[in-house]
Amino acid sequence: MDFAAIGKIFTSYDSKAPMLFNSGAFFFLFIFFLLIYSMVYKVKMARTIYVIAFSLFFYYKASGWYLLLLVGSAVADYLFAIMVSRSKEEWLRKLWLVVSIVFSLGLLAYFKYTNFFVINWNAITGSNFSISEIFLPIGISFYTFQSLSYIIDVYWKKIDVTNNFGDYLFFLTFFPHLVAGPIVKAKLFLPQLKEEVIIKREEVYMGLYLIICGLLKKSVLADYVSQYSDLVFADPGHYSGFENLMAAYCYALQIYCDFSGYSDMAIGLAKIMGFNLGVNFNFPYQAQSITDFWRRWHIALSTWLRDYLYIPLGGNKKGRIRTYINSFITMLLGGLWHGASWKFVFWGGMHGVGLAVHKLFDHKFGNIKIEKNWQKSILKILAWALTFHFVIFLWIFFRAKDFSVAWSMVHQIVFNMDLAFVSPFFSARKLLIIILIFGIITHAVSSETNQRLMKQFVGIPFWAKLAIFVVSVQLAIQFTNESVQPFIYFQF
Amino acid sequence: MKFSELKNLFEVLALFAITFFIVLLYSVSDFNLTVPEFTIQKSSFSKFFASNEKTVKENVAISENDTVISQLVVKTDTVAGQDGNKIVRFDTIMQLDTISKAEFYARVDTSKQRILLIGDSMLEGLMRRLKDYTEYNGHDLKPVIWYSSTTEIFGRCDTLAWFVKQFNPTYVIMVLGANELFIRNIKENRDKYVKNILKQIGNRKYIWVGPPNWKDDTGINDMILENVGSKRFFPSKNLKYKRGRDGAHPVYESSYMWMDSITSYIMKKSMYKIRLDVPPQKTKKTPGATLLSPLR
Repeated sequence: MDFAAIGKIFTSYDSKAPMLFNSGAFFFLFIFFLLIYSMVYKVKMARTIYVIAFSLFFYYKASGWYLLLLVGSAVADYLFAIMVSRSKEEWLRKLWLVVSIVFSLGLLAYFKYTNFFVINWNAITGSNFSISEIFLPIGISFYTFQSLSYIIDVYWKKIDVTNNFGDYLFFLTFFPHLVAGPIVKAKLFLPQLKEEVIIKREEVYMGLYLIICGLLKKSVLADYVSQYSDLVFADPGHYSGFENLMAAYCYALQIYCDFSGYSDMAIGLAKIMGFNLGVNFNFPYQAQSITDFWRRWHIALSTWLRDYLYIPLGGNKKGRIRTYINSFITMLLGGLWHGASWKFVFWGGMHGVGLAVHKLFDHKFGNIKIEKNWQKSILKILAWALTFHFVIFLWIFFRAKDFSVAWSMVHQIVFNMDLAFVSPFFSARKLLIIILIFGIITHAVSSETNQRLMKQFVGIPFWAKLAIFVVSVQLAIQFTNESVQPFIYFQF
Repeated sequence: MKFSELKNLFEVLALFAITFFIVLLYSVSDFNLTVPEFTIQKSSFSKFFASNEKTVKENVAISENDTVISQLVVKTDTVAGQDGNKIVRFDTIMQLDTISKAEFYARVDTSKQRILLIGDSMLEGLMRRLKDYTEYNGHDLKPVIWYSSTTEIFGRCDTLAWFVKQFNPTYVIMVLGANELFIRNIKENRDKYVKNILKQIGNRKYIWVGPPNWKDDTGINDMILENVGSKRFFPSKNLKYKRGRDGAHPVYESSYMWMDSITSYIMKKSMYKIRLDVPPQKTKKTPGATLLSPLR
């Protein structure tokens, strides 16, 4: 046995191979983690130390010595929150809040947006500043938003400040959500740390069900269809309109399965350990409006933006025009959160426009009553198709390397839709079609059906669960490309 | 601590452990499970149980049978030589694998390509074999050999850009580096030229075929790899060659095998996978290449 190679995987940091939930190394490690966890989870201090140590190790494997940045910002935010809480004067509380926000967003801005700022500054002023490439620590956008939620809630007195640094570090670094969310709010998670952890049979198997779903979504659906979408997005001009359209559909499936697959695994792992991280996706492509879409897609981020940006801006309480503007600003900044690039700003801004238009439409025509059922059905289908294709259209800009590639793809879809390419496509890419159809079917089931399936899974015998798990892991291996693909949301 | 809670945790722990054990057992066994059209793949865990022997899938050949792909497996085995250095032995075996053709092609761009094969004299052997491939797969090929060329020579002028503009390739295969195996401070001296070469290729799909080392280099392979990434770099130095009288250029037969490995890499491992099925025979055709004399 090559112990040196095994040791290297578990000890050294490799920037090209961060530890992922769907990697064999994590699978192996989690077995041992769970074994020791079963011995310590009832003793609060032991559990806290053990989980934090494992989480920090996990982060080290994902981001190397940027681990120190994570710990450093945790210490700073913990102290800032205490200062906010202990200050008697309102202006002093506000000052500490501002200092904390500036500190957190300053770090995020430095690592994520410095290059973007310099490039744009050079373009505007004609100057020639250059800086060396700044490494983006994995998960910084997620844990920064988490710490912001904590300190703002302390300021608003929605939660009590925690005087236990261990609890705060546990909340911030808990490995299931650490590197790619979901963004867990302090008011949901911190109270769980004060209560006794109870490992319920139903929760454990719901967790396993979610892990299986996440594994299949990521390793079978997302990674497989990505091979085709990567090909076309690299050079849309070389493909027909139909092939480009299929690549856009594939990317829509890929990003959903990739990110929701990660979230499912994260939520599932936490459930097995007795913690609740909330819900992050609720069949978003079933949405019949953009507003509905954002209630179903990346729920943790959209509720964060709603609670800490949209509502403080005035929300819908300051008139219709301000509501539209607030929606637009919120989504614009939401787009920028995804990455330091104008394409993300455009993507977010267009979603903001979509939200504003939907609100306007709802205001103008929302009261019209349609009595016949068939008319309601047609309207629903039209609303779904419009929403779905608006989302897909914007995914093109989200995924494409730059605007020219995105427009090239749109151009091919609109002006080069030659149906002669349909038949060769179906004959050459049968497995892709099967996977795409499978992805659509699994997404078309209702939320209730999914809950029912989950409950059925909990109820089946041990050997049946084992068989399903083995087949799922084997399917993931079967479809895995040469190397494990990183999660798309790691880069944000 | 309640026993029922522990039981819940141990049940799920057992599920993880048994699943891991089954997958591991299958991956290290010699047994290959096959269901119609598919071979059940083995996990990469097996590589940790192979002591000092590792197996690298180097070549893919699609048989005329529509449903079967055969794989040429290159086994490498490291042994201690007399002087204490490690010697790598190569052994090749044919292994049948039943991945369906449809599954394989779903990962490969099957459209017609215009391939520009450009680089130093190492192209002489490679271009003949690539001609077989391009004819068989319906692509166009334009070989350009610049004798005694280096990254510096290509990087100092716009010859590459000119050929790119003239031929308008959809795929560029760069074969360069053999004349720079022993340059000192290679990164300081040549990195900028490699970057310029990549700039001339622009946003076209490309791979860079590294030099077929006959001795350890001073860093040319690492430098190119650093610039282009492993999915666009074929490390030729890992192969063994039968060489001509000069001790550097592989003989034609060896060059053909080299090209077979490159095409396999392009189809299976590279960033831009294009269709390059193995042609049934070696025709030894000489493609109409553009020859550029060495700079004096």
